[in-house]
Amino acid sequence: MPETARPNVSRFAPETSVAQIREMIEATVTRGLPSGNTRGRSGTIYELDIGQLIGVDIRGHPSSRLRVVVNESNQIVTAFPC
Amino acid sequence: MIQLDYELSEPEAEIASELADAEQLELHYYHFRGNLTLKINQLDLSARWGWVPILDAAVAFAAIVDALATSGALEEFEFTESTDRIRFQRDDDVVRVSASYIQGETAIDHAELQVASSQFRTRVLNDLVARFPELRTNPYFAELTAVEFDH
Repeated sequence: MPETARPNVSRFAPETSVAQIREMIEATVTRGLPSGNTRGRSGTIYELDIGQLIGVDIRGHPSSRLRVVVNESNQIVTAFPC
Repeated sequence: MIQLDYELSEPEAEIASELADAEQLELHYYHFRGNLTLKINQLDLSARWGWVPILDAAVAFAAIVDALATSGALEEFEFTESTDRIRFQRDDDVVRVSASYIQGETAIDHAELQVASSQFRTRVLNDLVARFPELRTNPYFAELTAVEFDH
């Protein structure tokens, strides 16, 4: 399935660079609010309002919030606008 | 009445790579993606989005329902790559179920939900190891199946 056809997923703005995503992830893990993952999954969820539009959420609405999931080794599992 | 089912949407050849060494969150987030069917009574909570990680859903549902041990207990299943969620709240002997992506709410006997989620977990584990034998040597998958044998 093409990435653009995937339903119920959020997306970064098309012009966002990899470097910008890295910066946002670092800010979110450093300053974001941590919470536990869904039961049955390990990992920690961090969320942060980046303060500017970064993409669209799962409903296609503009979003400035980033969610990052980090594993027990502090490696990034996934990151997406929320 | 509950229907809990799935279908994988990825070609097996793509799934099968490096499964023996995959870590826990890799198996939960990146592998065995597909469509999840969840119908309770007349409410269709299915997530036919093509990318829902099925092993993750099976393990999480069973853990969530097990955690609904007392009346008032609230648990949520969050999809891995989405903020959509399914909400489970125990109310005496029933569990009220709703989801952020559909209208409505339904209720199901806790014991029935527990049997269904446990059977779904068992079926998914058995199906996956049958289709992808390299999972037998994956340490995390071995933990999951060891718990299965303890039940």
